[in-house]
Amino acid sequence: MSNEDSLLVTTRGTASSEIAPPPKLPTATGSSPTPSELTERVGFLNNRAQDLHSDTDDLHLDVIMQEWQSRSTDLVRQDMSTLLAQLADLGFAWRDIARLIGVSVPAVQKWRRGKAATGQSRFNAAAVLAACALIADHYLVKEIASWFEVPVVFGCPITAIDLYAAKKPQLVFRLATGNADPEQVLSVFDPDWRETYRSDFEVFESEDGGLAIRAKER
Amino acid sequence: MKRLVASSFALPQPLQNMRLKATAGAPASMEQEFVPRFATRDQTTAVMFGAQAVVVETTRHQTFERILELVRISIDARQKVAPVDGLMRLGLRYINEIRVPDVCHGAIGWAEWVNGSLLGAVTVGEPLGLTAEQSQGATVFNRGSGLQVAVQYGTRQGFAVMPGGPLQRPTPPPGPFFLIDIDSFWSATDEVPEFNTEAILALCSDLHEPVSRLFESLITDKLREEVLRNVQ
Amino acid sequence: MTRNLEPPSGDLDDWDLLYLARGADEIVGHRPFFTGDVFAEVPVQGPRADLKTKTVMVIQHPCAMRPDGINLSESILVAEVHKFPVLPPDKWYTSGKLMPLPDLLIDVTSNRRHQAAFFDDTFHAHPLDLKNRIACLSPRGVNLLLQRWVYHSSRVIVPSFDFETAVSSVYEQADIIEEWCEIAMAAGRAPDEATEDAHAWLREVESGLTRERALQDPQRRAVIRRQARAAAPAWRHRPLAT
Repeated sequence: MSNEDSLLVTTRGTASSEIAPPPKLPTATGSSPTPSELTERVGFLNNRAQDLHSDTDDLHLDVIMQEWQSRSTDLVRQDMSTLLAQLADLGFAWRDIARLIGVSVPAVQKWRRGKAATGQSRFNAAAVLAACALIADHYLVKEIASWFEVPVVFGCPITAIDLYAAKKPQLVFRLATGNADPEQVLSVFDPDWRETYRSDFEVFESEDGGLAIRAKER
Repeated sequence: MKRLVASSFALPQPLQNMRLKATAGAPASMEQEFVPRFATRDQTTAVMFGAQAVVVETTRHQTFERILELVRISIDARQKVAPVDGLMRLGLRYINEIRVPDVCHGAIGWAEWVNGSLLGAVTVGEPLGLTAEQSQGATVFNRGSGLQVAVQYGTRQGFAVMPGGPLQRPTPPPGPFFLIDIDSFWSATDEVPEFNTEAILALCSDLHEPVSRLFESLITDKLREEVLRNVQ
Repeated sequence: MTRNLEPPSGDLDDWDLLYLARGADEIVGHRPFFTGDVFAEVPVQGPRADLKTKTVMVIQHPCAMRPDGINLSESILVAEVHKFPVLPPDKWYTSGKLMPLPDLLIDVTSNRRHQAAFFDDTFHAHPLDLKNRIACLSPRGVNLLLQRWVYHSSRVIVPSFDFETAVSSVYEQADIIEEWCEIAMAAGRAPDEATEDAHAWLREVESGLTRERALQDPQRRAVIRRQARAAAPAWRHRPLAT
């Protein structure tokens, strides 16, 4: 087998159209990228262009995911208390920060008091911060924590926090681009959302200024 | 086709492919084609009927028996609508993104979670003061009679399968993971056999036979007990 | 769609979703009392019965607990909490007389770790007798509690997301007050004074609305939280004596 040949079959093999190629290894001393390396990456991109739907939004999402990864990797160099402080500075509630990271509120409180966090947890916190920064920078969202907290569609309580906490960040990014129909995004998240969140009751402001619940008028 | 697969794949979701056609002496042109594709209601599993392949894929693997049943339904449907004359290749591919609570000290940290053989020169470099940053490898096992198992493995960042595709999957943050990609496949050598449902299912079972044993051998008890047992 | 009493999370038995805090390590002492809080060793007395000591859960609506919006009522409605087996998610539509509390006692390894609050066994407790708080519910837990309590009291099932909309601003207040106290106490303020400052700050009018009322709008909550975090170290309801 020649030096040019590679065992790294990457995108060849069973049902391989969506599979990301391995990261490029550093160029060997005294050599430019081998043709096989170049072909590999071009081939991957070519396969993507040919075999996936022509929807540019999907390719755009892939680029966003790559950037999300890159920003997260940069941010994870900070310690957990710094990451948490930055999330708090954006205006998130601590229990929403806990949900977004995927841990309990007491766990977040312990980290704030200085207890060490695992590498994965630190990365998860960095990823939340990176997602916020990416959305704010690219899509000009000024109050990012509010954007996350507000229901995606009026009359349905699902928020971007719910989408992210359910491990559907791609739906959050789709919403942020402004190109996706929010109702379609919800349908991907929960095909039955209209029925699930239909209610015979409504919340109203009562005479004492507090919120109360009453049956809807028929 | 829709009616034939509706019991398992209730949602028609055709894929739109754009193909770049370049011919010498003529301008390049784009051709659009729609490929029949059907998904489950939760959009975690789908079957696609391409001109050259039938692909069943899932992001929510439960049991092999379930996959086998979906393959049966898909093949039967294909044969009823547009019969295929022969089988050139059959493959089962399991792509595992292994994520753990903590990986200390770079690539060597994965030694707690995966078989040391998957770390190649990492363990050799460590006592020499060489800290590995990334490590990738591939091994192809030949089982004879056209049967092979290709294993790709290594430390990665981000995702092994991009999450923006039509299949829904839980998408963790794009952090470090260890890839174990097992592709067990058969390809026709001398004769191209008939495209026969029962024969295909039997071949699937044969392809599946070494996969879980191989995977279990490539991970440690620590991964099994602390991570995989807790996955919902 | 047929409405039933809801489980915490579909068909998953993820009981952690019900709780904000459990056990001495997790309970924050200066968090305001709230619906769903569980207290141990509370002296209670039923009609024509002897005084007993029980574990109880506050089942009163958060607004009903504080008639003036700030100070606790002298009589808080509580329900007795005792051992009860785990109800699987597909059975949460049953047992409408109680609020299941699986994995409540996280330090206990026997089945006694699983408890429930029983709506047929209610008492009135004075706030000063609620000394030993052992658990707080999450917003999800509070919404399910209110759903079941309302069902038990009136045989009406209200979707939990309607309770979420109605109660979330009050839950936010509790969170803000808790965090305000944490920050103010770190800056040297006594707990009672910090709590008083927090309530007073929330009742300040800004842009025609008290901050407390403004919390009813989800779009304004993040801004108010940031403002509270900035104000807590130095803002005083009553200026320090010179």
